[in-house]
Amino acid sequence: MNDPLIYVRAVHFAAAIAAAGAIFFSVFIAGPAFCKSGAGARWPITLRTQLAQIAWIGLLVAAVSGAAWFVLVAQSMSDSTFADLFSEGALWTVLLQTGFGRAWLVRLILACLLAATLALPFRLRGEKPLAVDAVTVVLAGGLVGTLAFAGHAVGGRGIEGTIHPAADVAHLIAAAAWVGMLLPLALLLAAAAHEVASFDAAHAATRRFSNFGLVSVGVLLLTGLINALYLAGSVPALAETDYGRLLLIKVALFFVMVAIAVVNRQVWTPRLVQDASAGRDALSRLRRNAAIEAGLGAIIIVVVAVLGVTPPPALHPQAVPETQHHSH
Amino acid sequence: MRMRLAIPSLLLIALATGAAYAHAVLDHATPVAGSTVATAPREIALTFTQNLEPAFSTVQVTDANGARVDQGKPQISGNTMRIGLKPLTPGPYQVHWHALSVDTHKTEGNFSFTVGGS
Repeated sequence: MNDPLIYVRAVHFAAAIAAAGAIFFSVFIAGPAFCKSGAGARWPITLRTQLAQIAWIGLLVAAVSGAAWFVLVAQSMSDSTFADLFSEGALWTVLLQTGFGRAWLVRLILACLLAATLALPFRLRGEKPLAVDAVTVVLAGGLVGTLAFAGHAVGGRGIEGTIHPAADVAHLIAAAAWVGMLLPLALLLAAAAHEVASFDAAHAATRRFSNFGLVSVGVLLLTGLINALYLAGSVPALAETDYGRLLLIKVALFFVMVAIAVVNRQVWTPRLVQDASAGRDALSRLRRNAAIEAGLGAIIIVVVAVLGVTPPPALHPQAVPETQHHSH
Repeated sequence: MRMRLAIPSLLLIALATGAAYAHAVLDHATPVAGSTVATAPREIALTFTQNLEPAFSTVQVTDANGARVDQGKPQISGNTMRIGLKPLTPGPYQVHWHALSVDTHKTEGNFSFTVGGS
């Protein structure tokens, strides 16, 4: 737990997921829900601003933490000190001649393009909203998905070399969609709480979010199992290794989140449009549950940050009589 | 609900028998580690379990006195690393390798082989 890389990873994951989540929510959930809000309602505009702020702050924090992550890994890969990294050009070697470095270069470009799209003047944005939305969503998804190339998903031989990264990319995007949209959902519910006329909009948003969540959970389950197959490798490893135990914690937290989501979907969301008092009660419960789920998601992010620096159990039979060890 | 559980359950069963490589562990080498070869090899080849980063993977071969007997730059492609050797006289040799996997993790190890006298 002393490895600074853990903290940098956790911050970067959280920031990228928050930014992508705000963007996904704005395009897929908030937009359609706004049609149902009462005419003259102010809260959609407030929410739009809040989402834009989350996206910008997330992108900024992701940029800084991303740079720190790159420097830490470059230092480890090249076995050099911070000073040597810059003076001896190891930084450039890592950036241009390694898979990790090239992935990071792509991520930097994606982040810059995303910032440019977010900064697009409202007038230009208004002329082609669908195209701009599509580009922003793809860029945000790309920024999150390319995190797969900074972890244990790469390096495999044969078919694993294709399937594992592909599964990890899908896993990351699904996670960003679900966890990242929880905070925006809580904000929407908080904003809609003041006007009963907005309960229809809150209901529409919560239903849409729940559907996205359903797809997300399915993707997370399938891709999570694929990843676990390749990295944990066996059921005993889950109990006997640090990696396995961390994975079990992550899975347990995931299932708690799913349980809360099911209750939200089956119990509280329908009550939003039952009557005014049931609706008010359901709204506050949904808001609280969304916050709780977001908290659990944050813990999962920290667990993932630690998993990235923990050696996955390698079940490789010793083919050579020799000494070898893992130095990082 | 039942369909959604079927696929994950099948994969869980597969988990019980799956094998996974995580970092670049040495899979096999030529000449074979710990072996004695009749004729001096002109190069050694190491095959790893993961793809390597050429920029940061190296190998050194030394003789009984610790002098380097490898020559040229290591040729690294995918998960194999090979390096040429100077003409070797009979005797024991040590191979020390450093591998950087494309997942950014380093491993290192060493093994020995012997060139037999005629």
